[in-house]
Amino acid sequence: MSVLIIALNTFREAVRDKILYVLTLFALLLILISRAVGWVSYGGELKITTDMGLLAIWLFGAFVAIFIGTGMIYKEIDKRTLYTILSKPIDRWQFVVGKYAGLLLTIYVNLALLSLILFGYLWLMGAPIGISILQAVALTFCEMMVVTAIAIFFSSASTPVLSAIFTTTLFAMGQLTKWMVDLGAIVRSSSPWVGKVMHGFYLLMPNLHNFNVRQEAVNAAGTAGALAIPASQMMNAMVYGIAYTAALLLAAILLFRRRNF
Amino acid sequence: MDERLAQIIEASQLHDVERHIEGVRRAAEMQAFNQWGFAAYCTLFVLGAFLLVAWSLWPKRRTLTLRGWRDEDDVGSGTGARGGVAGETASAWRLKRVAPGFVGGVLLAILCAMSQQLSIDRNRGFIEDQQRRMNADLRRAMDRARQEYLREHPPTGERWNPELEREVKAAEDAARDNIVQSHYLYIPKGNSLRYLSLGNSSIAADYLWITSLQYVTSPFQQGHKFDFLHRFYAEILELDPHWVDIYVNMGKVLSALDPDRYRTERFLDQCITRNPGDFHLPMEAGRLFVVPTVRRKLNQEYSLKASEYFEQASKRLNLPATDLAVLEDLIGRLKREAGMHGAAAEQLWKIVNDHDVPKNLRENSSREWLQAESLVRADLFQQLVNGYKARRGKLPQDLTMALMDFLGQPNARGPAWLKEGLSGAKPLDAYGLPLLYDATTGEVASHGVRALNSTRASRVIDSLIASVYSEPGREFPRNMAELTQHIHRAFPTVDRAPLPVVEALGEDLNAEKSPLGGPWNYDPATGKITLPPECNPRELFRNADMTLDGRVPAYFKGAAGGQ
Repeated sequence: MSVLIIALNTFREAVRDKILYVLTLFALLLILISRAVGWVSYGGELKITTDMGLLAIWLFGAFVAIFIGTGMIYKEIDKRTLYTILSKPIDRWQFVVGKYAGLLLTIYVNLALLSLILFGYLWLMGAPIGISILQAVALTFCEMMVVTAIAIFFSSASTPVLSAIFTTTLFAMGQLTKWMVDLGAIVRSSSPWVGKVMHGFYLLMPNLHNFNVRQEAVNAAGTAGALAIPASQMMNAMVYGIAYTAALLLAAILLFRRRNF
Repeated sequence: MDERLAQIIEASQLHDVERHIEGVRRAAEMQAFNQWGFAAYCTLFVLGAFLLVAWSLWPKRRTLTLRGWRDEDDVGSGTGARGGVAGETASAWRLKRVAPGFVGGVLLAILCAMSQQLSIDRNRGFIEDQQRRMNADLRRAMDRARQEYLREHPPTGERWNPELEREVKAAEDAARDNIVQSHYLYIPKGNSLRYLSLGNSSIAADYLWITSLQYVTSPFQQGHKFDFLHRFYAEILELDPHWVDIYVNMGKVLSALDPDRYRTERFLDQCITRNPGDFHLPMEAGRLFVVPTVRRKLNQEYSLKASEYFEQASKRLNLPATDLAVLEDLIGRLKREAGMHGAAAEQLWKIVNDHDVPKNLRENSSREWLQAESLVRADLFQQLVNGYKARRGKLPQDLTMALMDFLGQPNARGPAWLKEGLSGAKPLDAYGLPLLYDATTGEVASHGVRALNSTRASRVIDSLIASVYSEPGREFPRNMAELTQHIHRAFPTVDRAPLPVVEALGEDLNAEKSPLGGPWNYDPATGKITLPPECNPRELFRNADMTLDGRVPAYFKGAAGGQ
């Protein structure tokens, strides 16, 4: 119950943040401008529009998680409102989970709104909206779950600036972890232990490319009923997301419990 | 360097030098104007901006009111209705007066900066700079190539001749290609874009596609685009291998810009490999080779390639069922043009007997089938004649003799219709006309096919005669020899002749002989050609109409693809 109260309060606080509206406006503009980009293309206009729309949703979610999430807990500490909350019979883990849930709810509500606008726009443009597009959006939601957890993790341990830097870096690295595997394969012949270390890093890092099925979704959108990836792979990705999120939240709680205010 | 050689080189460069001098003179004039114009322009703007800002910021001013001159500070002393908020009013009043001045000054300054930017771009912008550097490199490389070529292949005559000029130009073009390649702006590799876009390779592919369109349409080195287009397209293929619609468009763009059809074909092959289930790409590859050329041998090769690609497309699952029959008909025709008469006849016979296919398509296919089947028979009898000659050392007197000789062989094998009911009768082609045989050369041909070719050729000749007649003061040609002379004057080489003319008259563009072998029956009074009765389309295609009605002629039994 406390978690729910904190979550709702966090949601109310987050929707009043001006940066949310700026980012929403940016994402909307990107979706609308995507049609103009398609106009200068010879062919593939609808594909470009869909690509940019999905990109806008993905970027918006990531930016909200980074800009709002990284300062969330630190703001409470800085304003001393945290003492008021913790003086109540609330465990620290409830506070962290509540904050996470509230931010996630904010992101999901905005992503859902943007997704609806995107689908409406695509429908007006005559672009195909297959089940694969829904898959891509669903996996974007999963990805934001992990990114929000990363933001909360760093926010519980550090200042907003550093948290933003770490979260952004981890977000970018998470998209490119496949490169680590490729690099490891290249150096394995000359230095096997380096290859193993890189593979270990690859397994430890949040592999956010697991949730990136936008390319497959857009290509499959034209065929009715075609999936971007098989349902089993989608399930794997979602379970991976949930597990990684749980690990990050537990780590955040651990750090938060050890902090002295 | 040899003095004579130097003179020749100098003569070849003379026309370039004159043009260059003219260009330099004009550029100098523009530059002088630009310098003075630039100074005046800039001065006006700066002066205007300075005046505006100065007026706005002037500390004290006297304002004429009903009570005489007042300094600005007097407004704030409390007189009048505004006394209660005098301080605020004064500063607000000043702000109201100052703000337009500031805004005006800012606008002027920005306009000045923007206009100067445009001027800078004309002289030092990225494209201009790049173009200038490349032109300088091109001139150096082409001059060097010209000198080296002339040194290695010294001209024999004293005068500069067009043939030598063509060869030198080819050497210059080769040098030019290398320079152009090294001068274009950086095209990112597929992997780097994949990382820069944080794994969104679809967006990276979109970006490269739009950049490639800008590359095609930009003024930079217009006309020589296809080298870098292939690089762009290869990168896009790496980033988003399943973007089929764009690869079809890329095929169209490359076929328009790149004279090397085979290079475009190789690119489309890569796309087909990555998208094995889609029919659009093999269709596009087939379309590359459907348009015929004036070279018959090349046409055969092109038709074969086109038929192979269209066959690939016909086997793809996503090909609409309504397009399948049309495609198969096209494949049949292309196979016939490629010389695969048997395969073509089989393909077309299937369509003729498929009652689910629309009737007009079956009609067309049946007429094509007649042609293919006739060629199959002619080919077969040609083999019999060649076999007869190989065994007996001489040509048979007629085709029946060759057939009997063949049937007399111990292991003679052939189609059923060959052995049934042909003894004593002349072998017929699918049109029902006797096969033509030239006992002196041993050539076997289908009478029906030649009649069809005569019909088509006569239409082309009629239009050529009409073109001669349309010239003022000209009468109809007196005979076909005169018409042939006129054609050779109009089209000195076969490359310059339109394709229908080459197909009708052959590569020698000779209008004197008809495809049926003899001269045309030409009437100079009317300017018309009279065709023999077998060329009547109703008679010619009688057998095609019979097959559609289900009445198959007896000698079709055992025909290629027949019953």
